Amino acid sequence: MYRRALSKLLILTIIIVIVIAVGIGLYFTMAPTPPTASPTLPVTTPTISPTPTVKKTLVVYASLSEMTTADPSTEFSNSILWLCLVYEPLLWYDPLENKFIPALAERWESSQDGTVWTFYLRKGVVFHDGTPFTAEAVKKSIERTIELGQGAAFIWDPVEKIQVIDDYTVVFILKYPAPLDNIVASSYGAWIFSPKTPNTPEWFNKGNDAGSGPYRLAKWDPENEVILEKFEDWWGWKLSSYEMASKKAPDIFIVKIVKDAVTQERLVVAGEIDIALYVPLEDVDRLKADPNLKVVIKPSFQNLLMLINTKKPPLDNVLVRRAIAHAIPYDDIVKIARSNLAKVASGPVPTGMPGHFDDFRYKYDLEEARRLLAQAGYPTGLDKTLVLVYTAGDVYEQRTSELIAASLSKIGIKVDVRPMSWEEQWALAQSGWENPEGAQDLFIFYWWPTYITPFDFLYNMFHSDSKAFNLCYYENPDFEKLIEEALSLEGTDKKRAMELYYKAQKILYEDVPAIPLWDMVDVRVGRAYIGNLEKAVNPAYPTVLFAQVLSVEK
Amino acid sequence: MKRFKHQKIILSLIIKKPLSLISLLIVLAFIVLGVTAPFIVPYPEDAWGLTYNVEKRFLPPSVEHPLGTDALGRDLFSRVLLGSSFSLIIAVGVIGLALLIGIPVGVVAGYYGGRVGTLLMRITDMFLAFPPLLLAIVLAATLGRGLLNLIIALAISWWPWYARLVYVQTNTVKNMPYIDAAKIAGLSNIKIMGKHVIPNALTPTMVQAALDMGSAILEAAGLSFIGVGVKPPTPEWGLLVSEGWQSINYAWWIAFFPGLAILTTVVGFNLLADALRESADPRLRRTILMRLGVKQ
Repeated sequence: MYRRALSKLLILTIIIVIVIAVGIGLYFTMAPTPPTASPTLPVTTPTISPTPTVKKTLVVYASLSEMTTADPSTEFSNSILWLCLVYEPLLWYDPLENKFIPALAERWESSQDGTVWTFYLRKGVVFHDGTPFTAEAVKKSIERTIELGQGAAFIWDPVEKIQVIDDYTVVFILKYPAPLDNIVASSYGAWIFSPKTPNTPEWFNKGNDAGSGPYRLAKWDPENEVILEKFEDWWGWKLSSYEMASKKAPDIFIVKIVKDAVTQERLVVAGEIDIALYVPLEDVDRLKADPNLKVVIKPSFQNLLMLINTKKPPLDNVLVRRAIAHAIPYDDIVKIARSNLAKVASGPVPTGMPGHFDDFRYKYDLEEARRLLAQAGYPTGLDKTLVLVYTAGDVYEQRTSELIAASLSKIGIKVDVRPMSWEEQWALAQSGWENPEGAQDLFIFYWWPTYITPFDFLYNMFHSDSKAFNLCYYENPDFEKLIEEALSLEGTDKKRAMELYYKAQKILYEDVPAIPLWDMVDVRVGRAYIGNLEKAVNPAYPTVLFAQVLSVEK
Repeated sequence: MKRFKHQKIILSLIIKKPLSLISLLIVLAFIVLGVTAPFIVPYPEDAWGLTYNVEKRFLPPSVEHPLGTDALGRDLFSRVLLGSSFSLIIAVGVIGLALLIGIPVGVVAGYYGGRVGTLLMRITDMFLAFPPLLLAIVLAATLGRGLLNLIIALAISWWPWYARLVYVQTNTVKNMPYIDAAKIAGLSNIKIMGKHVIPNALTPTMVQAALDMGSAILEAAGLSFIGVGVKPPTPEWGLLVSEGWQSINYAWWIAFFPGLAILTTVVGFNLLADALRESADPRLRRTILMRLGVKQ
């Protein structure tokens, strides 16, 4: 009996050792980057093709999150990733070149005061259901979005009415001046769809599409994969040269949900997927050296801020907030949390966007921080522990939070770092307008714009009308007047508008309702045969990969 | 006298078997390190997560940093070492709290029987109806993150097992003649339970409790790994593994060593519990003693 028991344990131990050995073995066979990796992996699969004689090119793109809904009027989340390929707006916007790319509209003009905008539409466009595209479709699509009033419908707030002049001319009459060219190029809520399809939320969410874009929805399985198929009648393929189209674009584009960056990296190294949306940042240098891979690094308009509860003592004291702003090691955070793949923020408007200015960085200076704290009446530090919340599971937020806590402890501010689920965090933060004492002190928060304007950042996070996202509980009438005026000037007098945005950000810099931490850089890793990868990434449309411009060299 | 002899036999049994001896040493080392770690860690600030070092990120194991450094440039050896303290606290806390609830419930239910017994055992069954780990996850997620909440969540999913065990033992013990004698002598029910029932019904439960120490550590690490356990920067082993997982393609040691610590400790506890169980089983014990040549 004793011997048997012993041998059982021995067997158990041996099994454990074998499992570990196999695990380590697998790790070393998979992880390194042998240049011979998988030449056999198919980019071309004839099986999916409906006509098996033609070889079709296939590109698999990994997304980190599940897809959400499929209704182009109300979707305001992850599905942007494929909606931008299936639907088209009137214009695309390239913020890095600061220019518009014509999509469904060929030309446009605005009146002197910026309240009447005329769009001349492209001819010969058909929707996926065969309906020809006309001005009526523009009017109906945007009116449906406004009527439903969900998601990003707020972008159409300036629109008084939409007039159809003829089949290919549409006029927008605005209530107040606004940059409508930017609005129609919005990443959400600006898609045009066929007027002939049923267009109910149920119909869309069953996996139907009503778009006019280069791809049509072939399979809608939001939790696992979304398969898109080339729409042969897309107008862009037929133009002799159009910057949003490539002759070697993939015939089939698959969005595959792979829920963590580590696995995405493994899959792209092994060639099982063609493009990864996220990889662990500390590995980027190693991936760059791999001849089978191509790494694209582009600015993004997403940034990370620390919102401060300006209504809760002792943070209601501006001197305490300034002290904190000087006690945050911005450079170290960028190095450690993002492996240098970010830029220290300067104001809430991210680097590269119009309305960003370089002189709003706080200096990391513990002496200055201590002096300010003493001036506020806390010479030995705060007697209260501050509660800092961040989204559990986000490694960048976690590292950033830990660094902030470690650094603030040096000036005598104790921080309780609390990871929370997004829903919990959201509920807690929403309670802050009613009961600021019960809410968090510090909130680590990402923001990215719906359409490209500084107003999006400044209004949502700092205007007192924006109760949902102004989680600093900040109220300042002077600031609000400045940004409202700036928005109304954006369509007509960009220069003056930017001056006002500058003044507004100066106020935020002095008042410190939030501390901008870093502006993100986007990293995409693709197999080497995926050409034009860089061109397919556009910071105005986060997570989207414009498959129609890719050039598959295999 | 008899009692002393009994323990001595168990101890000699354990020491005579090499695997049991190793497990005993592992457990002893774990307890000693757990108690002393806060005082002996080479880099206390790194261990508690109070600092960071940009220049020392992702250093592989070396003489200066035997287990390497993590993403924030902190000494991993210090963090894993201090992690043993947290694991010890969790194991003792969870099992202790579970025993504290389970033993009274089981004894009262078994001793009184009838309606009281049925009521208490049905309540116990309600807890047993959920898979324990799932119940612990739900509780931990509801209570929020933190060491104390983690212990409470695990203990609540744990106590019903002890209540059941004690209940069954009590049922056997309460029909013994010495209990009748105590009743005739006029002892109060509480005294009988405390002095006569509990000591005689406890042995299997204590063996089970020792066996469960390893599982408690493992489950606590699991909860921390999925993000409902302790808060960062606490150097709890499960949390260290989850932090290292992000960089596993690049810096394998950050997830590997805390994982190894969990593996060693849990295997140690399980082997020791096996040895204990064998030596507590009279039939098995006699065979073993005969083979080992110990006279009883």
